[in-house]
Amino acid sequence: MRLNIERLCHQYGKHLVLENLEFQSPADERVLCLIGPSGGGKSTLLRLLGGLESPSSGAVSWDGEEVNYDERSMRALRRECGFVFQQFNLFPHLTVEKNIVVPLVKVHGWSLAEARDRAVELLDRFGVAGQGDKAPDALSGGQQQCVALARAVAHRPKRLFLDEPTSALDPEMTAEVLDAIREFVDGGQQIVLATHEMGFVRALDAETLLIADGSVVESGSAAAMLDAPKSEFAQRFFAKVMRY
Amino acid sequence: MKAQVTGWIVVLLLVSSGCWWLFNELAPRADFTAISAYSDDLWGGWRLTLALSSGALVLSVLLAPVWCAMLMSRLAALRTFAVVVTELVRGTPLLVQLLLVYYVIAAAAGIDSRIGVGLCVLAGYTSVYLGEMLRGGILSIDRAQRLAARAVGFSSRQEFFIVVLPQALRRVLPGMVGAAINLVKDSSLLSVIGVLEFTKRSQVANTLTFSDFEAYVPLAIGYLAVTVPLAILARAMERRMRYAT
Ligand SMILES: Nc1ncnc2c1ncn2[C@@H]1O[C@H](COP(=O)(O)OP(=O)(O)O)[C@@H](O)[C@H]1O
Ligand SMILES: [Mg+2]
Repeated sequence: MRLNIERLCHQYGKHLVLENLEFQSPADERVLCLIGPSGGGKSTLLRLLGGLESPSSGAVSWDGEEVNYDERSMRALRRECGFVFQQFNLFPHLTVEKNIVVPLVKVHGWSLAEARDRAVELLDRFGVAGQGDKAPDALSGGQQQCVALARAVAHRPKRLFLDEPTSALDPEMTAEVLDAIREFVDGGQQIVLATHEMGFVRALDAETLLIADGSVVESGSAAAMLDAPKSEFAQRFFAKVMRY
Repeated sequence: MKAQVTGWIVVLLLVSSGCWWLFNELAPRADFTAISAYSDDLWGGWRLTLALSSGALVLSVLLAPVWCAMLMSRLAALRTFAVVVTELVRGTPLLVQLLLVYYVIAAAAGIDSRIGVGLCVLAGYTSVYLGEMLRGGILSIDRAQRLAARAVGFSSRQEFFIVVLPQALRRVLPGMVGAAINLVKDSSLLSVIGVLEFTKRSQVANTLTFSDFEAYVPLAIGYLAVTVPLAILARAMERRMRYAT
């Protein structure tokens, strides 16, 4: 994927969250990582990139095609994407299986039988086999995040947006979810990942954007940035997050 | 656990001593022969109360989404109208509304159906409360749920009907059953505009036979026969919802 962002601004009320954010991916990337301090605007950027919200101003284009932020086009864009959030955001009134099945049937027009088969297959693959009839709340956080991942990839999206998918998980579950993400990456899935897992970012060694105060402070390949941050801000940030 | 057992014992003691007093002191002197002449009237009154309550409940359940939609409308005029109506209805006693609508508005319009007017006022009154509850329920659904609904590709219609509304209903349903209980009890106020429902019939029988105990104890029991099952339903729902939202 080639991502191009021009002078992207976004504000909530009077609060300017993204301020003239610029980015051009240097090559055809498979994975983009967003890192940076909390409140910097990573989640907001992800929502804009995936068409969940429309920006106050500015332009985004994927592979040379500019994103239209009218309601119809945004919906079309969302359908090509999958999203995973920090707090899982499963639908608590639907069973685990229905969380996956209902969007497949209602949004993507799958038959119920196809959708069920797909749900069973994915739950099995993500280590939550046999939990399909339970309420999401009955599962552990890690299991819920696995279900959220399964829901996000069920329709075989072109692009996956992951917003701090492991921030609410314990270390063991974090490792499992990261393994699953790694598997996607190796399988060729396009991913935009916001995370605080610096070790994982380094391991992926993908194009990485350091975002703070609503703009891109620095971008480049992860290893290069982590080893030799150019800006003073980046040096201080990495020194802080990697102190322990 | 221990506190709960003690609590139950206290309640049982209170209730049983109350009953003992009722049935040993008052009941032996009770004489149902006089009032039994009116048993058909009372039975008819009870059924009318039940019919009025059910009818008003159905009407108000149909009307509540309309109020709710108006209260949440994007059109400021509609919203203001709904807010004004809501506050007028909630700010005046049902008794006053009944008197006003029947003796002033309906009279001026030449409408003389006591039952019809009573039914409409009762339904309108309850629907305003239900609409307000519904609105609260819808607003209580987390923004993250709406975001997730959009993220899986739902349209705004699907977002509302598949994600928001079912969760909102789960939250407000126990409260709505509570409103239904109030509706049954409030229907007794229709006696003031001369609707011959259960309370009115009991009052009439009481005046004609001078029997207080024999008229009013069955009256209370008649209402309880409807409200207690509803209360049990509401509690059961609450227990279920605690796990299901
Ligand atoms: N829906 C919203 N309404 C108002 N302010 C918001 C909203 N979402 C995010 N913000 C604000 O925008 C800023 C950036 O938030 P966010 O994009 O979540 O950053 P990050 O994901 O990097 O932590 C924060 O100051 C946050 O309070
Ligand atoms: Mg965030």
